[in-house]
Amino acid sequence: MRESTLWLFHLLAGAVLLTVLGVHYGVMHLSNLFGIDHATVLSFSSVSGRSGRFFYLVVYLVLLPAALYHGLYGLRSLIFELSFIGLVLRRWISRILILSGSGFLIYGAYAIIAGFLG
Amino acid sequence: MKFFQLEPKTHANYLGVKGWAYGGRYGIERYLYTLQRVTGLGVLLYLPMHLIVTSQKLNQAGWEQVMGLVARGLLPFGEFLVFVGGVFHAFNGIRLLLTHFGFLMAQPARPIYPFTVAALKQRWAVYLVFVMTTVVVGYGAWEFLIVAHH
Repeated sequence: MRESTLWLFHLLAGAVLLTVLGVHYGVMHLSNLFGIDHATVLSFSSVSGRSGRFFYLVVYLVLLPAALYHGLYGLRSLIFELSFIGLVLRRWISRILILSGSGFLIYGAYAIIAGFLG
Repeated sequence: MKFFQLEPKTHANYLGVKGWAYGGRYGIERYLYTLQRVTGLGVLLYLPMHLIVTSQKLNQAGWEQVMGLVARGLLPFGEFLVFVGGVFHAFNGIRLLLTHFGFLMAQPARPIYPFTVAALKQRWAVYLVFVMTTVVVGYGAWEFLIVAHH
């Protein structure tokens, strides 16, 4: 895929994160503002209650791939700016990042879906 | 017979990794660029740990055990720092996105004396990033320090 397309996806993922991470931060760090009791926001009943709701299933299933792509592509860009990284090493770095990103995506998606199904 | 050298002269990257942080006499935007990277890396490092911790929600005993672990020592403060980094990264990211697509850039103009600094055209956005970050982090800090630890 062309680098400019990957960069555009990075920007799009960032824009998506603004919305879904906003929901996540709102619940976890600004909970009183949204009428959620901060003292119990991390209790098991509260967490499993949210996990079972369709709204949070969608939010987290969008948040996870967007965060992984935005973060790992950002890291890749940062590494590639180093002048001593050659073409072969670049390919291997991309492969490792794709592999680790896919692993975390499967692991995280499993936890989200299993949490929803109860 | 002497030929002209066609290859451009190159300079050694003498700043290396330090060049990421050191922006010399560039404006504040150059240092926000560094901060954007630092906060992005911080949030990215936190992400795998966060995934592993939150996946423990599948059973109550595991969840309560892991919540007991992450509530120890300076870990809640570290988590708050990730929140601060994330909020700054988001607001500065909006500024960068708008600048990237040209919305905050000055129109091209002839360089007629007295010269204007093009970067100043979007300096208000830099101040807005600081204000928005302070407001959201301030509220989050109040909740973190007063409500959660009351």
